Amino acid sequence: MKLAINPNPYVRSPRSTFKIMMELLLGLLVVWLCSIIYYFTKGNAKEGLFAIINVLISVLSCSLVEILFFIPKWKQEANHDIKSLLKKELNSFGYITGIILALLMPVGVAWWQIIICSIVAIVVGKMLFGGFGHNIFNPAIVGRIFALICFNTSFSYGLKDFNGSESINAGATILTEWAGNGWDLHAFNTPKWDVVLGNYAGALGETFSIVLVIVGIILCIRKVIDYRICLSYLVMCSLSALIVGCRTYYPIKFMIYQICTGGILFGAVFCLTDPVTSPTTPLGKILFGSIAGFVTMLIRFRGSSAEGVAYSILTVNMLTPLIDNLLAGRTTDKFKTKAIVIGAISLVFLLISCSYTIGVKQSDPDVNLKPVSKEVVEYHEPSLENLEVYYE
Amino acid sequence: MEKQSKKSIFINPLIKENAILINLLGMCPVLGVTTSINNALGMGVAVILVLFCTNTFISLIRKWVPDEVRIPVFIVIIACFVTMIEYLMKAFTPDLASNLGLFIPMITVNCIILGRAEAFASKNTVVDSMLDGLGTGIGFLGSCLLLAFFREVLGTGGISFNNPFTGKQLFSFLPLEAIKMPIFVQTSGAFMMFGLILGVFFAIQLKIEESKKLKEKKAKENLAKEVK
Repeated sequence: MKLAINPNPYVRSPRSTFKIMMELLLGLLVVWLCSIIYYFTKGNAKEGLFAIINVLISVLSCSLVEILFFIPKWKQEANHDIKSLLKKELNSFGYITGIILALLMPVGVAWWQIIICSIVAIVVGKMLFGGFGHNIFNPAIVGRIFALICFNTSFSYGLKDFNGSESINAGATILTEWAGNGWDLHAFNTPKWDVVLGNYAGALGETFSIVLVIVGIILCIRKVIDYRICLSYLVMCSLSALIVGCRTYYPIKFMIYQICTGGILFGAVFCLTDPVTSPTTPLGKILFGSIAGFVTMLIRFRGSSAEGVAYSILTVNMLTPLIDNLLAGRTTDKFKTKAIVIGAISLVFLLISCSYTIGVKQSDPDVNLKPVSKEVVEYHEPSLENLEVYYE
Repeated sequence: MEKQSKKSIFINPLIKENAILINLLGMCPVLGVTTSINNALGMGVAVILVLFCTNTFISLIRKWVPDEVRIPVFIVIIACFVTMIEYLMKAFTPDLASNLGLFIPMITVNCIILGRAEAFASKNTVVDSMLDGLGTGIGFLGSCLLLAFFREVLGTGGISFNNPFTGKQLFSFLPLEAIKMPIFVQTSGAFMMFGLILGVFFAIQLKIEESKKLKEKKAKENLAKEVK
């Protein structure tokens, strides 16, 4: 018998990183297609066009910035032709970052805002750390948060048509409106099928809940993304929402609305599961997902912004090395102890999430039809006459 | 210790041994205060004054201070001068003083000043210490202004400058106001900008060293050819 001695890894699979990333790209293209169809049918022609153009701008600028980073090394190679440069770019997956970044933004974002955000995402979030496979933070989320801090006031979720007619989607997302009303279910006017299908204002790709769930399940079965991360994240989010929802008399409805609005599903499928920035061990992945879910709901109910997905993903990306250190390399340990540790941590999170409820308005089932109004408390200034009466 | 020339004592801390860009000392005010060129200028001038005075004073009394209590003595001297500067700033440049706020008294614990006092002024003559204080302070001012320039241009879209004594706006030039990025005026942007500036600075330094080595090599080869 002849032993073949090669450097590791010994277990080989016909699926390369490139093929896996192509399948992820396919999933993203499906979501993009949905958004294009939605904006052409429900919105106006300009919105439909911009749904296409925004993604193209973002992909182009991300790829170009990466190619600029590759040029110095590429020039030192013996045979530097354009083909090898393009091959490097194809294997660095900057364009996937570009698509995710554009799908996380609303339609009304300006072209220069997309370009600035993609430059920040690629340069600060990815290439300065060493390129694909070495980044600490998810580059698309870095770009999105940059946009959130810098340009949030100028974002609009709809555009005026070419002939000047108003868009149906102008204004804030339903999530921000809902949060502004103290998470009151009566103030939530969007019909439930619209919420599930994605027929409301939001970022380009994050609204289509059913499509996202189907794409996520297919990607999980194809083992492109890890089901543990998605599932633990969604379970933690929905449990927290359920606990909070107990105060509103419709806990299940509250929970479903919470999961389907905002970027939770998109984040769970495409951003959180990035294999570069998530832990390697199975238990680490579960812990990773549940911490992310906890932080998301914490920001939603206790923080100042309604949308906490992006910040929570960055937070847990930061914890990834810590989780890996905690759990990696101890395969001989009994499973029981680990399970107990993770169960205890999740339980503590759930108990803490009970305190979310303080901020949520309690809606009464009897006043279903009454519109929301703010109570006006009248305040009488103390005058001299009153004082005199008081002294007498 | 080698004896340095007076010129090199003054010039070295400007770029070659810059307290911020090379030694990464005293980062707290640099990140906190450089939101605008106005603030950076005020902070830099205050640090130059404090460094100059403390270096001079400490090298004057360096032979009388016992070794065991030298750090408390230095800190008390530094705190004295910082308090004087603070009162002066509050009297003559009230707007600037209120903008800088807590960062003026915090010059006391800035490690550049104690570092120079401990490493240089307590061992060298008065004139040398004066020059060293001036050089280090101007290096600090320069790097503060560099960081503040990029932060203000990106964060507010241009440059505006106020007269520090009256608080009146002298000029404001905001060509890029439509595409300003407010993150650079906030603290997170300060860290990002500072990292980028450090990276570019080191890259330039590496390039200069490489070209110097190449020149030396060529000169040696030329010499060898001439000898032949």
